[in-house]
Amino acid sequence: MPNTPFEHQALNNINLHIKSGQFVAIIGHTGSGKSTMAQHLNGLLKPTKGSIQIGDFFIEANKKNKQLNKLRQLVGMVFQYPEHQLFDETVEKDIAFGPLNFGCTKEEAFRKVRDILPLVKLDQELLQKSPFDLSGGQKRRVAIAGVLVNHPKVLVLDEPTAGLDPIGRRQMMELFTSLHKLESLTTVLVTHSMEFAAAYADLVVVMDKGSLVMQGPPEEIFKFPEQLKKIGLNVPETLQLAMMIEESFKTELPKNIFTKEALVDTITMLLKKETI
Amino acid sequence: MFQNIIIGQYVAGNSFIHDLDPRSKLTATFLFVLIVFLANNWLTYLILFLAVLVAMLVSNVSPNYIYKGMKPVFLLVIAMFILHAFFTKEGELLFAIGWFEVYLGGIIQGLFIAFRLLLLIMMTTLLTLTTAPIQMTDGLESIFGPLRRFNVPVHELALMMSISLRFIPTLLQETEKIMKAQMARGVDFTGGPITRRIKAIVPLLVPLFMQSFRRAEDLATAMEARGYRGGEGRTKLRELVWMKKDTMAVLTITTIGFILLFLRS
Repeated sequence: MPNTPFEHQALNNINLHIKSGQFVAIIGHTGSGKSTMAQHLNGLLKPTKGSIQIGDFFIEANKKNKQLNKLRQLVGMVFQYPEHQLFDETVEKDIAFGPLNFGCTKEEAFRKVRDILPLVKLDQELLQKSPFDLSGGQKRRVAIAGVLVNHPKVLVLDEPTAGLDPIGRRQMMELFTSLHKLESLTTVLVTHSMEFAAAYADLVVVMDKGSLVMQGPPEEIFKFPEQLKKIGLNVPETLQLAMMIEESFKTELPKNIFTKEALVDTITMLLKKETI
Repeated sequence: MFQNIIIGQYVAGNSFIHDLDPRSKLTATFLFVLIVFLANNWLTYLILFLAVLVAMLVSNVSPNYIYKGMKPVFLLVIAMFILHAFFTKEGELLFAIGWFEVYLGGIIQGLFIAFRLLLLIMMTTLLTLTTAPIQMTDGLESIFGPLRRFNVPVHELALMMSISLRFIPTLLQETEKIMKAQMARGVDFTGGPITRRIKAIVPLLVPLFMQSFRRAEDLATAMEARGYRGGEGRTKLRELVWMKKDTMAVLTITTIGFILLFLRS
């Protein structure tokens, strides 16, 4: 909102290159500009300066884009609480909404809907139900199916696990990682969770106050817990525990302990060494 | 996306006008609205315009911001002007194209009406810009308090009003969010033939209604959980205090009214 008392520059001087096929996690404190950045990726927001390139598409400041719809087909976007976007009478129609907008015929759209259901682990029999009669988790799956059904090449996920229970969160993330591989997607995950960023991403991007402060593979990023703490973030819980063990037992542990399994392995190794 | 809509959007400040009691501001604005209808010649309109100008200067709200907020209603003002200019057949005939005749009286009348509308909007915009919604409803509740004797649910009405005012920004945010989500699924809200644009509203309205109902339920539960039982015996965190400057503000407007009574033709 330029020229109003509420004027606020959300993003500042961002230089980021994402290779196709990468799994990128954008982490940062609330209000650091993660979501704002994500919305630039399919032209929902446009930069006031500079440019964005996605595949062959260019989004430049102060230029009108006519092909935004093609870009939006290419870049699927799952918003926070995606179940809020459901509106149609039946699940089938709701999922088919995207393909129909992007110019599919009815038969084509409904066929795509049927093909996408197993990917998000939904039953065919749900198709004729009203989306509002489903459970919270099912609603979210339907909403996500509504994005995936367009077969995007890039998938942007804005806090896709918000409001789910731990099991739901895990399943959701597993769904996205398997999709990432299966459809060879480029995935951009906006998240608060250091654990997810560490466990799933090839590239971690750290943002603070609208600027990009660090980027690199998780092993590199989480080497600097002090710096992360300064901007209100922390290292993953597994690594925290590993670091505490390091301190109290005066040993050195590897720096890439990002999953529970890895942590358990290192601790057993350590214990074995102690007993010998 | 909704950057130009500032209805009910309060800009915090601590000017003379910000600090006035909401009751005096409401009364003054109401009187001003009445007085505007007294004006019927250049001099009286000039006085009113100066009064609004002074109020704006004192309020310290950036004029640019007021202008932006008023932008959407300019179309209405222009429409009013055109209507009056074309349909008032008074005074000298200026020009005619076929049966289409424009008179000098019509132009003047149109200008006056447009100006009147503009003054009204400026003053009320100033009121909402300098008064927090909660203050506004507190003021209204206090002004209409005596009606309680006639079984008018004043407190409940005021509460309803403050809730709706409070949720306007939330609703706009929500609208923007859902619009973006549907745009990401290929809806084009701004282009294409009108029938398609009307159809595009359904995927926006349905989720919006669903959310609003859910929010209303949540709000009701939250209020009950905190023991809300209506206005009976309820005390206020911010007591309204009527001060000298409030009397002054109302008196100033009244004086302007009297001056106008003398100067109108």
